[in-house]
Amino acid sequence: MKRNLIIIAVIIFLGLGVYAFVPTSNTPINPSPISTATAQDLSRAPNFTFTSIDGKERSLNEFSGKIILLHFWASWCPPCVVELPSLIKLAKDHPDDLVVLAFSNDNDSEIAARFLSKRSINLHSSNIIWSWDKDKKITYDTFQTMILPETILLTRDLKMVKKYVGNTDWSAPAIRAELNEFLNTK
Amino acid sequence: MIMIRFILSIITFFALSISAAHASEFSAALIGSLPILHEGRVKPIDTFARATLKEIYGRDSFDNKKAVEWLATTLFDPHAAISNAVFRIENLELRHNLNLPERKRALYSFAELSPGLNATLKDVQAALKKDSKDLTSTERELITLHKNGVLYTQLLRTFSLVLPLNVSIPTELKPFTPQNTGNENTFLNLKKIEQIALTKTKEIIARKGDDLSHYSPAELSIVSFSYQLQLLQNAAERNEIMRIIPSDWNKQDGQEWYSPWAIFQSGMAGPDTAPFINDLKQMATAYLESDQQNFDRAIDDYTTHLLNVNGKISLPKLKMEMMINQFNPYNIGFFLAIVTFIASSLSLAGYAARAPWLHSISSTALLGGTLLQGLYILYRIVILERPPVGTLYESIIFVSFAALLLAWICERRNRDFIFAFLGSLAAIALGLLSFNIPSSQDSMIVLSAVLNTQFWLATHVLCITLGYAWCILVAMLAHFMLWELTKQNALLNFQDRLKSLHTLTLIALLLTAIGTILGGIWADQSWGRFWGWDPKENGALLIVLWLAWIMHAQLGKEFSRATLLALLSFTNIIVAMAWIGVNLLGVGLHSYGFTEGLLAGLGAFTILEIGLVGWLWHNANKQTKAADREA
Repeated sequence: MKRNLIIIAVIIFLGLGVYAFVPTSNTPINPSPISTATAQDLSRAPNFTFTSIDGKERSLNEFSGKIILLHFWASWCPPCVVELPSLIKLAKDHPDDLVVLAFSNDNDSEIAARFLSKRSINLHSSNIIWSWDKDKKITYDTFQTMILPETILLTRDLKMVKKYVGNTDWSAPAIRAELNEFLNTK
Repeated sequence: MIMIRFILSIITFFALSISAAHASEFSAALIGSLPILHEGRVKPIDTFARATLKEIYGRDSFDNKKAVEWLATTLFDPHAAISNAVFRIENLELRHNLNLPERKRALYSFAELSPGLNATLKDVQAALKKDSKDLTSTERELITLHKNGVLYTQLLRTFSLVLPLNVSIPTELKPFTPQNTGNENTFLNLKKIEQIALTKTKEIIARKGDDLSHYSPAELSIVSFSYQLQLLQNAAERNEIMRIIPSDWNKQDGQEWYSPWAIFQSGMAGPDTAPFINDLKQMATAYLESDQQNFDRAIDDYTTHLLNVNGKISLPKLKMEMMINQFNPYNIGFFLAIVTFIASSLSLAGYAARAPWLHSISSTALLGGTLLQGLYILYRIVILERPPVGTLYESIIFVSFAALLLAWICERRNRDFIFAFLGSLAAIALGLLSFNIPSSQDSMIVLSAVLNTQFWLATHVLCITLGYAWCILVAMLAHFMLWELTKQNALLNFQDRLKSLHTLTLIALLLTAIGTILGGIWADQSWGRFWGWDPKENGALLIVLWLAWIMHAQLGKEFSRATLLALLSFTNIIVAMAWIGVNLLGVGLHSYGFTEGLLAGLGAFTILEIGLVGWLWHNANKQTKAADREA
């Protein structure tokens, strides 16, 4: 009996010894590899500074308190061109609550400015801030955007809610309803 | 004393196995510990590397290197990796078709194989259109080789967006190239000037047409640069194998994981992705410079970032899986079953009187083997978060464990080496089967939806597989007793063993009957009917009817002892048919269990069993008649 107890003790010791090789962590065991997002899961967008096409120094943080659309586009990108009118209309419909920060990925700022002027787009709108992303630092390095157009929806406290990839019809009822959910929150 | 020495030697063996594995695999183990979403499960890259290498090379180590080291070379140093002779092509006709040189070991590198793969594209397309039954062995191997070629190509290109490229930036574009990243020649950096290059390319073509001979060296350099960037992006289309980055977006639909290329190409990258890409760049640079410290630091940083975006990843579970990969308790249990078998065989052969320590070795190894196989099953339950049996492989290792456990319990009662001998023999046979069954290279697979129910896996499946284990032990004991009957002087306690056999048979009948009924209830819930004469259902019923028939006949004393034992011995065949045979038919609703490639083995086993039992039965009858005549 005693011998058997020794055997069992040794085997348990072995098992514990083997388990000891597993480093401990405070990370809880995941019941499933997949999780559902909650409001707390949303990441805050990193702050960045930029110069708008009209020459003003701006930063993301100064728009805190409004719903923000970070829009990445270029005049050489046909889907971007298709998308622009509905995006501008959206901004006009919500002059107080919505800000569109549109970053051009054109080869230089002149090209972007010329493109916008040619289409009679107001470069000095209060809630569409046009800028040229020099060296593509904001588009590529910060927001890791490689496919244009892309738009990121930020809450009033600058949390990233959703990414719209490709040409988006901002006048579509489903999109408007989705945005209204955020626009109606104060 | 001898037993303690034996136990100490086992401990030393285990300890050495672990420390040796750690010492030789330290750097590889770090990259192996990073998680990857593969085949529906988050697992360590170590598991992925082993499964992938086994798929391509047939083994889980290459050139005396662990699979993770092979994978690291393939990912971070594709230039070197294309010369690794990792493709095993045993088929002579296929080697001939691919124009490969003959060599002692039929191993070829991707560089050697590529021309042949390109040349046989039409052949493989034609083969894919055929019914799988009509394929020749060469066509099957050609299809497999092409699949492995695609897999290898994907691996080679996985990190091409962060690796330094062998691309010269045209002088005219240099002023536009961002200089502050330290990695000017990576795709992600060059992508920023792609549009400028494309605009200039269009201007050149508009000015000079598309005849390259008319271009100046500077113009040629710009056109070539644009073309190379485009080629790199096109080649990376659908490169989704290494899903190592969780996405920031659309978490409400469940967090999806992406490969580095796919996360950019699908637009699912974001600010939280940037640290991962940066860490991958650091890893690549450190790997190429053989800078162990920075390589390890980049992996640590990667892990930290991963936990920041997905706090639910369990590092201990990943480490545990890596440890099982290195040091598989099931295999050690298999080894201890062999020790038990040898010790108990020698004891039964009469050596126990001269070497009393044989009993200690036999019983300790039996207990050790049982516990280690149980530990392996426990690990799998923790990692997969479900009951232990859901696949054919899992049923085999579970039956092996159950047979050892049952043998140990019976051995504790009888102490006559017989159950140690039979249980270990069953575990060895099942172990050999588990090592050879055709299955996914990673044995821990996510189950199909119909199977993925905790309750039924824990009740019906466990009950049936325990029933299989009991049946196998009954059949093996019956074999042994039949062999005893062929001897002039049967071993002691034959009558006691007959009682044990009776009890074991009743338990086997009970477990398989309950398991079959539970299966019917599950079928009723899943498929809307209790019984549908499905092959798997018929197989389970066959075991129940077989055992019930023998038990009834025994009660009515219809059979001689030899016939009774022969019939119980045949339970092995009945179980093999119900357990594995029906899966080979490929019909019925139990499609998740369909198997191929075991027909020859099952056929050989059946013929061998019929021959063996027939021979034993014949000799036992002869011996009984001779004994009756003498009486």
